[in-house]
Amino acid sequence: MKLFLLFLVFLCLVACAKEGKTKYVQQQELNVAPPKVHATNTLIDSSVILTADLRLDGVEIFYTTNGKAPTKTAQKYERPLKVENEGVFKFKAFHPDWKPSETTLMKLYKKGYKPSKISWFTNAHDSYPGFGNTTVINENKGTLDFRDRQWQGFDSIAKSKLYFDKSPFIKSITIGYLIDTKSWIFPPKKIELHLNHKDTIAIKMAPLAEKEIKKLEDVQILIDSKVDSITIIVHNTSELPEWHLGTGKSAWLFMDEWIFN
Amino acid sequence: MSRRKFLKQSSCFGMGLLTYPMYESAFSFNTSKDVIVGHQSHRYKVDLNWGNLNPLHTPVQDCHEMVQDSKGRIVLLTNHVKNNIIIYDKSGKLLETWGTTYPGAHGLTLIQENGEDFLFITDYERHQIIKTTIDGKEILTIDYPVETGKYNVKEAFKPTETTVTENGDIYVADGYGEQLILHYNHKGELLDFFGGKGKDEDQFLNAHGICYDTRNSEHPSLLISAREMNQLKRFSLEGDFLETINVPGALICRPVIHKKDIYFAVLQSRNALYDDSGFILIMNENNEVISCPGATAPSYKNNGLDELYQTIRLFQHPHDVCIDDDENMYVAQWNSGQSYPIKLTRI
Repeated sequence: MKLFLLFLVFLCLVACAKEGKTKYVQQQELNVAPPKVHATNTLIDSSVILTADLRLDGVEIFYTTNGKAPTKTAQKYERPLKVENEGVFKFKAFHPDWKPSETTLMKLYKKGYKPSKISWFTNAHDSYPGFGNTTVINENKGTLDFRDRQWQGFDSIAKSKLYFDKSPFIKSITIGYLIDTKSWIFPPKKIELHLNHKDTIAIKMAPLAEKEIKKLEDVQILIDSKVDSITIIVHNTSELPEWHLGTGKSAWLFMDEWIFN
Repeated sequence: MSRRKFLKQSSCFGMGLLTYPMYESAFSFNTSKDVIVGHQSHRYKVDLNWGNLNPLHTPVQDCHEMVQDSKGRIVLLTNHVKNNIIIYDKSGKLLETWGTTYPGAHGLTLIQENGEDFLFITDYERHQIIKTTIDGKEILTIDYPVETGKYNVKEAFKPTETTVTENGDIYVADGYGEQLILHYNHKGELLDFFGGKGKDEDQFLNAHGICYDTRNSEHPSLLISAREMNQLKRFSLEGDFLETINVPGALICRPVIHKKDIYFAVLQSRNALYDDSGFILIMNENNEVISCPGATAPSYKNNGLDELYQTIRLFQHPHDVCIDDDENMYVAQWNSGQSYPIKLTRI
């Protein structure tokens, strides 16, 4: 009898429970925005300071350094991080009332050998000269804003020759570029390296898998050689794909930093 | 009373209580809550379904601007040439549409003359300003202002907004063109102009919106947004620069004055890692930001406003706001998947 009475009370509660129908948007239907992440420099000499923030009451930020998307069991961000080694940092915001944010990715690079000289065979477009001929080796990365003067913008092939003192052993070169498809800025189509006037390395880049993208990207090319000089030829995407508004026309190529490690 | 009898009576009493209307909402298995956006005095619930229509019959491209007419109807301007003007009632019910010849429909301003409503449409593809009756009859067209000597071709004139004073004078912001503010009389004859492209205090980068501010009735003035600069600038009616109000991080579209406050759609957060990072900004009569639905709570340090940015992924690219006579807000969005406006209900 007692069980029956309890069951009756339960039924009553269910019957009385409000449907909760409303025309308004509900919490847990929307995501919080991804955290804002800032590094004092994305090229590490000795160390840099990494900060993450989202000014919303109740937000908690978690991060990883192992490439995985952060969950609430990941490391909790509580104060600025002093970072000495290169790596990929991923940050995500969580809030009790909202769905978690998308992930903010911050890639930090180790500063490399600085070339003693750079000579250009082609010129950046007049509208996007960056800080001049040394923009791609000035040890500063660009932001997502293509107007940022850390970017040099090309509407055709970018070709230059770089010289190194004392023939350092260079393991790899990292070429940083911007993707901003809405602004007609696409990844390189092909990269050619000519080492010390003899060896040639050519890399063909894969076409974009997604349509609307805006992000910082890079390609790392293994060299494993002592280098006196290196000629770098970066080809822009010569024909925008069918899905793009500018189909058939050539894409912009925006590069910020070339890192020799 | 036996224990069994007590239980029986008390559970029935409980049933009575819980079924009584007063307690209807006291108990709910639904743990979800209405989203509330905004801060302090200006907080809102969000209705994403308001004004949704069949896109096959009444499509939109970009929803650029909205106004409320004297009948209380909500008038939307889109650059879709099947129906450039869509008129709703406040519940979001479609009342009528018109307009098929405004491919660059961008700015929408409502004025009253002798008790009758008129609209000013700026069209940056036609390079014209068009005055119409509320039902779409064109009564005045202003072409590119060649007499300024600043325009060699009509294509250089890309007007984004108008505002009209009590005497009928028209001010036009050439926000996608030469960044000039052009002053016309009620017949559309150019009187003077000021502004221009640049970073000086009396110049603009993207003079996107303009409005006539009569809150100080002794000194009416013009408020002009310099969207790319994240600034609102005040000028006299003669075109003299008066002041700049900084809104760091906020790409503000046109200022919309409602009672004592100014409302802005913010197209994007300046330093966001993604494009669709807009929000709404509300400023009081002292030019202080008091609420930012969808974004950081406004805070001032050392007499400066902290950078504002989107915190909730609610809005994409808000382009204009309209505040109705119930204090509710309608948000028109640019480049947001051909979506219809969003209604915010003030709480």
